[in-house]
Amino acid sequence: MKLTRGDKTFISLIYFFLILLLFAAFYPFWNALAISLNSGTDTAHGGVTFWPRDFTFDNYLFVLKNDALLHGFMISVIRVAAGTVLSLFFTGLFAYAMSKKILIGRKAIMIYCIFTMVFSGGLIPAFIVNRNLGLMDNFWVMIIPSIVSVWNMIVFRTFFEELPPEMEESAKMDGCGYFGTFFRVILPLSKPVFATLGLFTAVYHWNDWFTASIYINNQNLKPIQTILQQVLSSTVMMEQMVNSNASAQEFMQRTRSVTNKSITMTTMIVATLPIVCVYPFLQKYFVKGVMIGAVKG
Amino acid sequence: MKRSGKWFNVLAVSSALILTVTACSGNNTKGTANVETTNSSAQEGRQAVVLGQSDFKYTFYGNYDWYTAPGEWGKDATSKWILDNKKVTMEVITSDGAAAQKLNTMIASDTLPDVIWTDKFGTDYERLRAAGQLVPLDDYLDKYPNLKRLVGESTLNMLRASDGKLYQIPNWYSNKPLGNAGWMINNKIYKALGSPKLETYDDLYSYLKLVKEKYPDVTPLDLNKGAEGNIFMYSGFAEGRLPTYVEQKAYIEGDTFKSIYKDPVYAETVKYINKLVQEKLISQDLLTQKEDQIKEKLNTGKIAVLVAYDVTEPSNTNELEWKKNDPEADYEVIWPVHKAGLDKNKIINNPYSTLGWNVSLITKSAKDPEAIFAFYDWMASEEGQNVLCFGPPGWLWDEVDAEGSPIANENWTTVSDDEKTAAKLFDWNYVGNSSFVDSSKGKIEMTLPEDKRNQTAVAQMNVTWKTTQDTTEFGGITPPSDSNEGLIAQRVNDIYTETFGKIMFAKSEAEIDKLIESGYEQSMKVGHQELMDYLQTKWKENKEKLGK
Amino acid sequence: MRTATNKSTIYKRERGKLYELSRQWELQVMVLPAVILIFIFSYLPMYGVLMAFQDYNIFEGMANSPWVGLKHFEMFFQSPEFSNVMRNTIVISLLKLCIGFPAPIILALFLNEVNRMWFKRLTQTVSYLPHFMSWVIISGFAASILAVDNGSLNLLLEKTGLIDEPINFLSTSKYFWVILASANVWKEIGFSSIVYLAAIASIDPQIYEAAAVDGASRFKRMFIITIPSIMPIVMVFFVLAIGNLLSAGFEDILLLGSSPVVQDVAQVIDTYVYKYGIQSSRLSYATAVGLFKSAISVVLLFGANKMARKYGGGLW
Repeated sequence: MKLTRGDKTFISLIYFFLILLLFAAFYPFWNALAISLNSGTDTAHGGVTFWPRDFTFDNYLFVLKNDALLHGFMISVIRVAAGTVLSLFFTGLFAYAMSKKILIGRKAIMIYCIFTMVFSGGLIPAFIVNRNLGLMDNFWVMIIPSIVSVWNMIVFRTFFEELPPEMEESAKMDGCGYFGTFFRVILPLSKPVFATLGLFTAVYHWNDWFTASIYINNQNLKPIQTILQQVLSSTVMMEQMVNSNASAQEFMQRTRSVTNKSITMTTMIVATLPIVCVYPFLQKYFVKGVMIGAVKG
Repeated sequence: MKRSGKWFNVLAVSSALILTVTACSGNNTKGTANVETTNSSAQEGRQAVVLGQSDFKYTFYGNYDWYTAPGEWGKDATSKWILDNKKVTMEVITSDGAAAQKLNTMIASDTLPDVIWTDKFGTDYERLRAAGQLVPLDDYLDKYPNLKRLVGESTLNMLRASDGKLYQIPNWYSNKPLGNAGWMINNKIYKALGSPKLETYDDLYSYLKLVKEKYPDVTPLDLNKGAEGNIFMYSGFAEGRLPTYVEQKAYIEGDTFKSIYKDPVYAETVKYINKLVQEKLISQDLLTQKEDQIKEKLNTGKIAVLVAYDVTEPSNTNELEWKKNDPEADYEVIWPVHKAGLDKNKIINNPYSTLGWNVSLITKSAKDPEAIFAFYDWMASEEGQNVLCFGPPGWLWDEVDAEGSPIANENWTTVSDDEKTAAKLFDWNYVGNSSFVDSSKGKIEMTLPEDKRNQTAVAQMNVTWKTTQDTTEFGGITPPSDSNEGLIAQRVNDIYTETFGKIMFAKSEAEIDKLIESGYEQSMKVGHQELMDYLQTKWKENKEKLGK
Repeated sequence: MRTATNKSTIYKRERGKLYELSRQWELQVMVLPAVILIFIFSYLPMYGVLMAFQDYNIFEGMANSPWVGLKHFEMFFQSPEFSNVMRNTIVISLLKLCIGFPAPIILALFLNEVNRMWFKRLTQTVSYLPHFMSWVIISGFAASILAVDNGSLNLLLEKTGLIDEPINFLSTSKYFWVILASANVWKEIGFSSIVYLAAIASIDPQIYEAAAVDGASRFKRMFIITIPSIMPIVMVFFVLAIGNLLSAGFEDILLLGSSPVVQDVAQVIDTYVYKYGIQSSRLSYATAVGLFKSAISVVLLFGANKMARKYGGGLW
């Protein structure tokens, strides 16, 4: 394949743009990493950009010495695994059925779903429902209510509808039912969308701190983000609290002195690195050629 | 398929439970009635609770987004001593960043914690009290020796609700002046510029111009985050003017609340600050800079003058990093700058309240509220305060003096700060007694060699504690945020914030006058007068309570 | 006679429907758990929207709270903030839609043209990093980059001679919307592009090969193959985005719009509800404003869906 002159300028432009984006997206993260590896007092002098000036692991030691953190990490990992698998399984099947025009009640179910994207009863009724279901202080409160995602269903469905119908038909010829077709034909053909939505779901489960802060009181069931949220919100809120009353100074200074910029950055790195690392492993599913392999195999 | 089989079981159970949902959603008040009867039966003719005889546990909810449990109860030296000696366990419930929502869900589902730690006279206190969810403490007060004696009758009176009962246990209450707000200068620059007179606003203006000329990369004047220093500048433009007036958007003339926009002193203040902003003597980032940016400037000596809520901490040069590289580096708290011709001793930077910072509330969910109170009463005592702030006896101190303050032993200076932090000193103290703890600390400081003393204490003694006024009478006058007046207050604040921001960048005095006028009109339109009337009534009531 | 035949055809049709249903029992089984879950976790709590028509007392519960009709809606419509809040909400979300919606699509298209695998992977991974930064941290960066004193952007502009005086970006109303939109694009561009990359990955490579044989340039192939192939998912997202038009954002606005000077252009429905509803325990009021938002969203969603269907897309 020979490239024309137009192609060449087109591609150079793309590279230029992407390199710009690469830098813009990378720098703040790198800077945070540098700050997290720099001593807190030195960071307060400003000017830490690409490399730590006063290298130390103290910030990490401080953040990681929290016993609850390791436990929270395990909870998060289990939550992400269970939540993603269950959600992909049920939402995927649901979407597959929804992609079939012959499905009786298809339109009604769609509107039934869309309605929940727009209207919500709010936190208090949801809390009462979950509590009555025995989900208070229960690990499953972080999994079950979010198993079916309407948004994911719509994305799944759109992808399934784009699949060439011939393959399904040939599966039907072989005597597969809908379940069989789904697992033997649709699933292998839909790796990109499963990878995408799996990633989105995993990221949601990893990042969500709110559910646990409302429903979980047991410190041993809190996921890592909820524990780290305490560190983060104390940085923000302490700024406002200082103004409240002078006599609480000692109390607040003690709490404040440890939540400086370095700790905030370290916390962020600790909280995001594990989930960030998932993506590169999924990237192979975005490589062209899924279809061709499936047709021939 | 096995998995989904299991799943259907779960669903079947769930759908059975659904039936109960609708039935339960409404009747939250039912449970409280039962608790009430047990409460009163527990009280009548009961012997005072003696701690340490049997195990006792209660739940404690910190109603703040930022609140973190200091640790697991019983794992550190302080709480372990309490657990061993008093047999009390405090089970902390944290909001993890969603305090308001979490409290709402606890109320709605009738699962309140035993104790709520929250703002005094806050909206949450008010609505819990109005709904009869709080335990009145008056009966216990007489039964237990410490809280009543230490907090004092007049402070307790102020903390009483409109029904005449006491529900709030104060934290960091105080019976003497305190506060850390005021002015601070960069001594190195000040000396290099020949230590000019720096007392009046005219002095300040010429000094700032000089700084800008000689040190172009230094911020001449910084008002700290959100330009908070403006309210202390305001109090320097007239005698007896409280910074609080700006915060409540109304000043008091004679005996009436009047709109801050009609205050000539306010107009003079903002015009002066605007002039400094226009001449770049104050950073153009004054409204948007973050705490980190200010800290960075302070740590590198890039601020010549600072006005802020807390100037004693940055002036504590013993702990300042900048000083390590530069022996001349030094900040010093100075007497508040003021308008020429005023009596400098009548400038008030630190209004303080004897009521303290915030409060603990015992709810009707508590099975044995009296035992909780007994524990609070012990924590409030001299012994309790010593354990909570200075660690268990026999570690940093062995004995106490006549006033109950601990006498430091050799461990005091040899034990590292890390170890002190690990012992959670101060962290478990939710019923702090400022006067007692401060004076105990002060006494210990005095026994230390000079270079080990904390300069914060020095600045407080010499300046900030001398520019104070007792403003306990303003305690709890702000309306609850879910009331009509609360809505007005929210709007008045929003209008004020915007107006103030625009004034800072106005190009002429005429423009400022116009902005002030428009701020006044907008506030009046949303009901500022009604709000001021409310404040006035509450304030008068308070004054009567205090016998002023 | 006539009635009899009618009856029999109806019977036939019913039987036909039942027959159809039995033939697709597998599909119905796939749908059932989802429908039940949605019912439990979304529809059961839905009674909460009725709070909007009550003076909800959290201690009494909904059953014992007084009904007040449309009081809270009237309060919202008559509040002095209403027109301003609506204007800002619409402008900000339109701006986000116009810039934030196409940006990840363009990025995905560009990435598709990159042949060097390592570069493609690197760009993908790195561009998705900002999604994980909280707005608190981003606003910290913004404050230091956009500062008047020594802010990187001002220094850059001054050095290149584009401006003489540093600009106060964060305290000038007219810049706020632009800053907000750009920060959002920066944060989400990589993450949002993933789904489009997946769509592109699902295209049969044979089609590209055929087009290349026909002599179509790469630029042209992008237009005749890639874009049409990802159009269905683009349409779906577009319809959803229209339905979401009244959600202009929350944390980003709260943190980037902290300057008092930009308040009149930064207050949107969600920040308003937070301030005047949730923070001040006015739950009914917050619910009423939320319900108003939902009602508008439904209208927008149905409208957008109708439009999309004309072009062969749409959600239902």
